[in-house]
Amino acid sequence: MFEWMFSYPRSVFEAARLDYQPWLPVWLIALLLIAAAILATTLLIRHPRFTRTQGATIAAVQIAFLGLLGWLLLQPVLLNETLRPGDNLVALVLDDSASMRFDNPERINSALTALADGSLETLENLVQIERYDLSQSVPVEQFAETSNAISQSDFSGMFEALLAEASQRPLAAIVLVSDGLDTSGVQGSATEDRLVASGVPVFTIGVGAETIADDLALTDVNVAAEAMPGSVTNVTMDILHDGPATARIRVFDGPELLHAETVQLESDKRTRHQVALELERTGFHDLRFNVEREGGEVILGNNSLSRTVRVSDRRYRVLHIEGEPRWEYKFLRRALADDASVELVSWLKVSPNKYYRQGIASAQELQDGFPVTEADLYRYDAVIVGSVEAATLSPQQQQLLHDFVSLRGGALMLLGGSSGLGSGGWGESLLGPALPARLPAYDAKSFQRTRASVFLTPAGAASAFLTLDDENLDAWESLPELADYQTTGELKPAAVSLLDVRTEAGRQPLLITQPYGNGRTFIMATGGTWRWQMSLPVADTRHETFWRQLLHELVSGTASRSSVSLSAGNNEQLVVRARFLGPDWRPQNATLTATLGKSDGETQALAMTPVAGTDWYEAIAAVQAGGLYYAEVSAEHEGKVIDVARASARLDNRTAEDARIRRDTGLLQHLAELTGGKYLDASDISQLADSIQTTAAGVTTVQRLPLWNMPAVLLALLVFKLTDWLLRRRWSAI
Amino acid sequence: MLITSDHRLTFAVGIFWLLLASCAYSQRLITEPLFADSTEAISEFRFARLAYATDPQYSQGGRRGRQMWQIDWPDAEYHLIQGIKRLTRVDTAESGVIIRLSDDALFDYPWMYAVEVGYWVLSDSDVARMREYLLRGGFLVVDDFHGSREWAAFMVSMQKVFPDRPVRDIPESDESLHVLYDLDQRVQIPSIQILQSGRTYERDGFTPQWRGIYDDHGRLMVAINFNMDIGDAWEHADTPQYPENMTALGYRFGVSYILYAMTH
Repeated sequence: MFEWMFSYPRSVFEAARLDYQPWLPVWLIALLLIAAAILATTLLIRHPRFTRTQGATIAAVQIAFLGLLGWLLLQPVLLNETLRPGDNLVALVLDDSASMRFDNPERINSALTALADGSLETLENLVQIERYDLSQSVPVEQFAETSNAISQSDFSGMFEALLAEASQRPLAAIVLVSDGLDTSGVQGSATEDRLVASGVPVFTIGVGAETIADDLALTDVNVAAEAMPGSVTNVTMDILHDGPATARIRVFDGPELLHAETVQLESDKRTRHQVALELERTGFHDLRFNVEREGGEVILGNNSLSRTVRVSDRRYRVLHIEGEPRWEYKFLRRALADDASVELVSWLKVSPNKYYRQGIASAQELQDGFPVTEADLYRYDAVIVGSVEAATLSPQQQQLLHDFVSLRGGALMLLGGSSGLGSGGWGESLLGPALPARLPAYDAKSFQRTRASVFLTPAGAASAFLTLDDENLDAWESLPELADYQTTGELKPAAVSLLDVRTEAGRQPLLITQPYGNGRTFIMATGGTWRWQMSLPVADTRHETFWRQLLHELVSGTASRSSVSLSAGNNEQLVVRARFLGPDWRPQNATLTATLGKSDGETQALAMTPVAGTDWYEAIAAVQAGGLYYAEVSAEHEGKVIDVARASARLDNRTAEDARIRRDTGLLQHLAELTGGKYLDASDISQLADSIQTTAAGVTTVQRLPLWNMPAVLLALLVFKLTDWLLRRRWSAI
Repeated sequence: MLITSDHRLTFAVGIFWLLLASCAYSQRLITEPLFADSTEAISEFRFARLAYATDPQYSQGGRRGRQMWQIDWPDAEYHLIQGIKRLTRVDTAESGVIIRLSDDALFDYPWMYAVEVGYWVLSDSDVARMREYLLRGGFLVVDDFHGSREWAAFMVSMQKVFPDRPVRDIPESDESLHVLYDLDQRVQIPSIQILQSGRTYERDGFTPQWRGIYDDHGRLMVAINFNMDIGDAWEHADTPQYPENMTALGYRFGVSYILYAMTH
């Protein structure tokens, strides 16, 4: 219908450009039209048989008629750039990876059926088609059902190979027939940028089921690579499911079952489930996360993922500065007294002329007050600033503390108090930009010795470190009131409140955090949690648990001077990354060597090379089989080993595609839209030729398509004149 | 002698003024103590004095008709509070409170002072509350009891609180004696009455003892000033007859106990 009315397909209008070829000068056409419009309006408004309104209405219809006529006098044409027949090449790529064997009929068969159904005939008249299997970089004569069932869908590799081809030959388009289960991470990659820059459009043809009701897939597990002994470690498990299901979740530490639970998955397609684990033993833990659908499922290969977590015996050091003796200080120290992972070093102003130090490692530590050098401050992993005025620190010390967070990647927490937060002038200090809230002014009396009850926000409820008990909501709601609280001001955009207080003035944030630079900042807007300890029975350890876990959270994300990570790369690769910094947190002059080992004893030496623009070194190792791998990286200077660090990772045996069996329509649409191509379902493959024809890549020619003879135009002219006649008749002029 | 009406009038006026002065003086002594309640705090630290039950044989006693726990009150804390405000950065309330072990507000005052504990008698519920208070992190200073008989009476209740925790001498190296000052002077701080008699000791309490009860982490929970009267040193800070150096030392011990309690 569209094409009948407008002479050309819709795709031509979308791709082409409008142009005019007037046979009279434009000014003359405009003058004639304006004169005609004025004459018609004047005559009609003054016409004795019409009222002014009736005359104006008919004049409007006539002006519309004249406008359309004038537009036709301009001779409008569409400039349509199309492929020059016979001069272009289209690469038709069929995904032959293992995931194309899923479904019934198999996806690859569905694709072959769609391609063989004469649907490419029109296209073949226009361009030369070269066929590729996704796994091959050379053309094949015909697609075969027995294509290689490789376990990877390397979209990036395929695009790179075809772009290399495009530099030699007129590649007009790439047509990718696939389920979209790319394992190369093409989205957002440099390959994607190169693809866009080449101007070659990608047309994607989607095959495969988008939903599989009787299957659950564990798509990702997120857990910190390092944990502290006895600390609660938060794990998020991303589960893909189509519709409601009952899932059994289990976590194994080696052969030992660590956690088991049954959860009800709602109808949402994706569920992020949280598990809190407590790992006691120091060393590497080989964790396996498993999810199974009750009642069975069609694919079991996507139900498990492994992660390794190192429980470190490292002692984190936290510096706590206070400007006045107070109960919060005492009870914070007591809460951390038995903690094996966090060492609290305190610097307290007890009298106008005396600072009292606790937890110091030597008589020299903090002897001259708050650190003034990077080496002295950066040795701490976190800093707690209590009820102390900002002016206690010099501008240089404030800047150093700012850099401690943003550059060193340390954590900073400000506590409420009569001289804390806004009352201490911290909002106006050099630390102000780093803080997660816009603190009230120095003289705003933000600190209140008024009791207030605490409750978890939704973000807090999702934070494992705020788990006080199995019945966590009850545990929080039954806590005694705080002795005091402090207003924090407006939260900054990246900040989130994890705990709120309920006060006479309403609800307001209590525990706030935000990332800042390489580190994180926190505000705990009270100095009164000590009432929890004093008001609850001795056996109730919620106060200790809260502070222990909060300080663990503070230090857990902080960088260390020696860092090694081991992660799975693309195509059965393991990537070792390492960084060794000196006491001043600057790169050391050292040579790095890595040894990669497997749990069965095989080892290989790797040369590490610097990663441009960073302090990191990297080595990539090809591995043949899944299993538990260890990396040990040593830094040597002048033949002497100055530092050694280790990491571990398990490479799962499951193929990268197993995790996501369902068609990834989103990725296919993304690739098409990004490159100027089009996404089509396999059933719409007949539209492919029209879509490709108007692509601007390859060798093209420009068609001039006149618009004056469109039936729609003639129809519009008739409608205007008919309307004119009907109106005159109705108002008795004829 | 003939008593005229003028004499009678003069006598009556004299009696009136005497009664008035007597009332004023007694009012000074028997000002109603301020017992703690569960209302909001007015400052970070508040001096809390423990009100306890006394052995019945001394229940009528005390001094000047007051309960034993009231001895030195309120001048002792009044003076010490000024010292705390002057010598430290502790945010301190202008006045103290009286607290009973049965009070709901007990746990809102993590530092507590008890005087004349040679006469205290703690009930079973008091014992349980005291144990809980100390184990949660509360700190108790006991003072002004002397000699073997008062020690024994003190220990009857204290041993019920902690049957398995020994009372130990506080060593000179203990952090409680070094938080602000280095308190290496072990001088007996006497009460003013005893001092006026020319002695510094009372009964058979010849030697001052700084003793304590510690928790499982080696932190002092109960500071025991035995055979001394630091409370009098505070109370008589403005009494010309009381030695200034004793008051100064008493202040230093009081401040140290508070700072220690707020840091350990």
